[in-house]
Amino acid sequence: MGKALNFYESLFVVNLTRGDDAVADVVDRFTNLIAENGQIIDIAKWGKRRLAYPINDLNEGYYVVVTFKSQPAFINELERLLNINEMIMRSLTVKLPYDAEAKFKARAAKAVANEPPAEVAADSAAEVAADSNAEEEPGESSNETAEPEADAGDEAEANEE
Amino acid sequence: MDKQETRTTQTHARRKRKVCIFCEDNIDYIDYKDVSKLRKFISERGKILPKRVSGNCAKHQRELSTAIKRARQTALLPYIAD
Repeated sequence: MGKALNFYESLFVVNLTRGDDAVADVVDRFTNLIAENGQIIDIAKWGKRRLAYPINDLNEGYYVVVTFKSQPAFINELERLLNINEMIMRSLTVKLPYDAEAKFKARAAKAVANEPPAEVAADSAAEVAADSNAEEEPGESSNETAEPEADAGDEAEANEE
Repeated sequence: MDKQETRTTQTHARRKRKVCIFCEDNIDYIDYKDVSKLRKFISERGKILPKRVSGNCAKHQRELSTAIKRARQTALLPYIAD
């Protein structure tokens, strides 16, 4: 018991009205808390972002996404503290069904593989770029096909009405 | 009655069967943070599109709807948009 480590991802939105220092302080406090109780895999500070709807008459928030590995018991405590803190406007912690550590390592490795050739030799960089494009293309093409379908959906909805 | 039935059969015959986009791409986890992707599956009003419109399979439609709901909780997507 208690030995099982799970992958989690915690997103929280920080209130911007008390100034940048206060925001940085809160973000540091929570990232440190997570670091003390688990292993941080990635911290993504999205920064100031417009909210999709106003929360307490505010239209903007500071978004932070922390990916980490910890024991399940820590999540209760983390969520409790996130809910208590007045600077946190919203928070959501989800358990990741995949191996986040492996995923981020793979992404980092890819970034390293793509970067140096771009500086050293233009030719090899072009090759790498071509390779990465080939890998990404299926996703892009599906995005393109997705749009007309969404349009078709709107039409269908209009017809129904 | 008769008229309506013939009309629906005609449209069915014309329209191609949609394939689930997530199945095509072999996606096993739909990320609620990927707002640009999720936006394709909500209507102008912010409602989740039904699978008969989006063409998603049941499994991915379920995962998509939780992803959209998570995005709403975190103010990444609107509950209602006008």
